[in-house]
Amino acid sequence: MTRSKSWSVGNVAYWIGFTLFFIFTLFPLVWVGMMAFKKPVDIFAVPPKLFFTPTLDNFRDVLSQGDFLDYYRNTFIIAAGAVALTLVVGTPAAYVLARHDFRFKEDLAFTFLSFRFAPELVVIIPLFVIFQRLNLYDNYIGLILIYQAITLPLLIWLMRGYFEDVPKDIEQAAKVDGAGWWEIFSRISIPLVLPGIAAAAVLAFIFAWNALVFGLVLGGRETYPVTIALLGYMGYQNVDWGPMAAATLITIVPEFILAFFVLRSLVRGLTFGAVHGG
Amino acid sequence: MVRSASKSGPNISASVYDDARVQRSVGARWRTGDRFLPYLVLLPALVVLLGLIIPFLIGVYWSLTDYKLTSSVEKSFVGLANYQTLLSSPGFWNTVRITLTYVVSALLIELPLGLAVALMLNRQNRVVRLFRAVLILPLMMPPVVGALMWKSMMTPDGILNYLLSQVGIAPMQWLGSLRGALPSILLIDIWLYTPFSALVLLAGLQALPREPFEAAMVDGASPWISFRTLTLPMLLPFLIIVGTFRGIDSLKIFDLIYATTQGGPVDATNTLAIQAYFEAIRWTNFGTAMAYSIILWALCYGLAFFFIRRWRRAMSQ
Repeated sequence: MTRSKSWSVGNVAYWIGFTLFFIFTLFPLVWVGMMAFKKPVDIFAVPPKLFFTPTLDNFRDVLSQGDFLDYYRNTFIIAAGAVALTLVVGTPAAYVLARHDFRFKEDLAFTFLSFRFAPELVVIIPLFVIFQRLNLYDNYIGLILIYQAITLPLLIWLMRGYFEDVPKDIEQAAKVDGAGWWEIFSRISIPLVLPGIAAAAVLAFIFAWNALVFGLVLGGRETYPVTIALLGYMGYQNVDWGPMAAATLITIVPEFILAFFVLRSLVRGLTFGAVHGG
Repeated sequence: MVRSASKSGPNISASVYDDARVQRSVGARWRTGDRFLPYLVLLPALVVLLGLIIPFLIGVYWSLTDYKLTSSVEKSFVGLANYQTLLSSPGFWNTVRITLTYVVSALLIELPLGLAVALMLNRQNRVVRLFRAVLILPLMMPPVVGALMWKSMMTPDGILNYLLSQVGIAPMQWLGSLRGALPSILLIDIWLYTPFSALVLLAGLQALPREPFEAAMVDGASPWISFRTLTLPMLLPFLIIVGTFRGIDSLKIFDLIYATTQGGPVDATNTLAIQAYFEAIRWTNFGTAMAYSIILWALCYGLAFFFIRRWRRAMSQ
């Protein structure tokens, strides 16, 4: 769209609105990003300092003191494990939900989806007791299992959509040629939706990485995820703002890089397949 | 494109494998297992699903008992007593009021703001494309991180109060004050999730057909008229999707509040999920905690039902 009157009232209002929201969105990220490279003196300086001598002390603190790296590793094990299990269990399920017709199909699909919209606590509070009895409390396997509540509904609903997008003729042709169900599924359908699977897996990993309440209730010293480590930087009275900001950056920068690779599928993923494009 | 939630339409659900003609022509290769095949393939996912449903059902049962971990007496069935106690306690209704205030405010702000941002971004140029990438950042980070970022800016001598002082506004207590805590959390919520509504509505705007707008322009309709009579109605399914996701997610809001105020000061930000959590984990009142959770669950379910019905109606038009 080209505008002939580039200084019209509407256009000026547009750029003012645009700039305000741009600053609103970006400012906290920039501010906390700067905080990560500040010495305590600079963090608490009044008036706040825009220019300062950057230091890597905060990052050194985070990486050398405490157990931040352990928590980081925990999160990686849990999120990657959860996505792996979801891929194995959920991809065939999504395919069947996309391509086969059988009784209770829609009810089943919606039961999977309902765990996206149910409050996590309805499952977690009972599991708090059950996991302790089953020795799954503070245990990677227990957490990978309960993280299915995050990753499985997402994968099933996204992948179902991707499988439906594949023209049926291709599979039909293979079937006429005598290919079996497994052959069609693994040799034809999966390769065709591979980019979709990758995007769904990356998004599921990010959502799992971001979760708090599952680890808070069902995790312990051995398995706490990184979100709990971040909360640990807040003491009763004082907060270690510098290390907290550094730990925050270490937590989110890999996510931003991952998200960049699935930019095209983001809106589709965030809406569980309901909205395409964006 | 918006796809219908219910795939009951014959075109969509008809599949290669139940097409009788194909079955006949292909022969018996996997016909015997055909009827059970879907269930067989689904089995692993069903097992995982059961692993979620069984604890849920146990929790529903707990909500009907006086289960308390610290109590030495075995739990006993008390019927709806937990629910009756809640419904007659002012504390519970205060929690409901706070939760609903939060949901309604979040929707009333994030939907129009998101729409405004989507309209601003519905152009093609380099600045807009850059900004669209920036918008994704809050959505990809843990809500806990967003909460901590803002918390560090909301300290008494933090950057927000400094900026306010530059324009002559007295410093605020933000998360620390009875009246300011909930709006402060709401501000963080707006920062974290307005990008969601903006991106979904932008996808909606880009999917709109061009012809009606061109026709309206030829007829001399003002931009405002064509926005109200064309854009908004056609955008309705997308608005409903944003409403569903944001409505339910703010009903069950937990991470943001746990990371900032934990329900305080006093109980100014004590939502249903926060209260359920502390009942269970701090006081081990599992009966009461589950009653809170089930009521929250019912609210989420009701909201989802409400929105899905509107969506079907919008889609059928």
